[in-house]
Amino acid sequence: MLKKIRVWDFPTRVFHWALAICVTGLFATGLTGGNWIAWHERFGFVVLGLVIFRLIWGFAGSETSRFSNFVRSPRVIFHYLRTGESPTLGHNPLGALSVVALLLVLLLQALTGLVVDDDIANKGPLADKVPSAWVALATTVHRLNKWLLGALVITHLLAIAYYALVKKEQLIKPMISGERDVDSGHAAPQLKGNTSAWVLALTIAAAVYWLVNIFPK
Amino acid sequence: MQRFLITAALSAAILSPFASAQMKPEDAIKHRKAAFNVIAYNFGSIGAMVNNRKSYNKDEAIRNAATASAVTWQPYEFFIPGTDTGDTKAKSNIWTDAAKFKAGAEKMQSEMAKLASVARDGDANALKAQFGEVGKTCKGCHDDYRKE
Repeated sequence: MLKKIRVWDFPTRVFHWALAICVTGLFATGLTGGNWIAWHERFGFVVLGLVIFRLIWGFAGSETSRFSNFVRSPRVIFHYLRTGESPTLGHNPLGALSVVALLLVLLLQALTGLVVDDDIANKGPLADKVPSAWVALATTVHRLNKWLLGALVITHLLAIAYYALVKKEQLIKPMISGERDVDSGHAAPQLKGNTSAWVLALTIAAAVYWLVNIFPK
Repeated sequence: MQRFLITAALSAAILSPFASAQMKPEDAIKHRKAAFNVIAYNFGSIGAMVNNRKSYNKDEAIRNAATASAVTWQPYEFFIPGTDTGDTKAKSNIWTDAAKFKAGAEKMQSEMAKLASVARDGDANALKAQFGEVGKTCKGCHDDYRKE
C-alpha cells in the first residue's frame, strides 16, 4: 500500500526553486557580461542569502532538511549504492553528498563574488574593503569555481534524469508539491511551520542588503 | 631633402607598427599594462556613473571616454614576441592566434570610439547601453587570452 506523505517543507522548496532560477540567471549573465553584470550581482546577492538560509535551516529546520538527517557515513552510502535502501525519506545518503557539495561551492562562489574585480569595470561591493591580493585570489577562484559549480549542476540534473528513467522515481514533483508516495509503513517526517522560516529569511535578507548596499558606502 | 626625411620617417613608422620591437620584454609588459590601466580607470569611471555608484557628469564622461578611446591602440604596440612570460597574464595564444586577437582588439577600439561619441551626446541611457557593448568586447579577449 502506498500513501502520500509530505517530505519537503515549504521553505526548503521555495529555497530550491529560487536557487535554481538564480543559478541559471547567474550563468547566463556571467557568461554574457556587459550590462548584464548588474543582474549577475543581484542574483548573486540573493544566492548568498539563500545559501546562508539553507545552512541555518540545515540545523534548525524540518527533519528532512537537517544535515544530521541525511549526511551519513561512507558505510551507509555504500549500503545505499548496493541495495537502494535509504534510511530516510528525504535526501538519500548519496544525494546528500550532492547537497553538501552544491551548498559549499555556491557559498564559495557567492563570497568570492563579493570581492571580485574583473579588471573591466565591475567589482564586488566589498572589493575596495579588502587587500588587493585577496581581490586577485578571489577573482581567480570565482572564475575557476564556476566550472566546478557547472559540473555539480549537470551531475544533479543527470541524477534526476537517471532516477526518473531508470529507477522510475520522480524527484521533481515532490520538490514542487512536497509530497511523495511511500509505503504505508513509513511515519511522516516532522515538518516545521513557516513562521520561523520567514523570520529567518527576512533577517538574512536585511543582513545581506546591509552588507552589499549600506556597509560599503 | 627635408621632404625626403619626412617621407622616410613616415614610411618607417607605417612599415613597422611595432616600433618597440627592440624593447626589453619586461618593459613592453610594463607599458601595455600601463596603457590598459589608463583605459580601465577611465572606463571604470563611466561604469561608476552609469551604474549609479557616482553621479553622472557629462563633462567627466566625455573626458573619460575620449581619453580611453585615445589610448585603445597603444597596448597592442607592446604585445611583442617573447612577452607571454614574466609578470603578465597574457596567454601564448595571443601570438599563435594573432588574427583573432587583432580582430578582438579592433572590435574594442571601434566600440570605445563609439562610446566617446555617445558621451558627447550627453544621453546617460545611451551611454550606459554603449558602456555595456564595450564591456563585452573587453570580456571577449579576457576570456580567451588572459590567464585566470
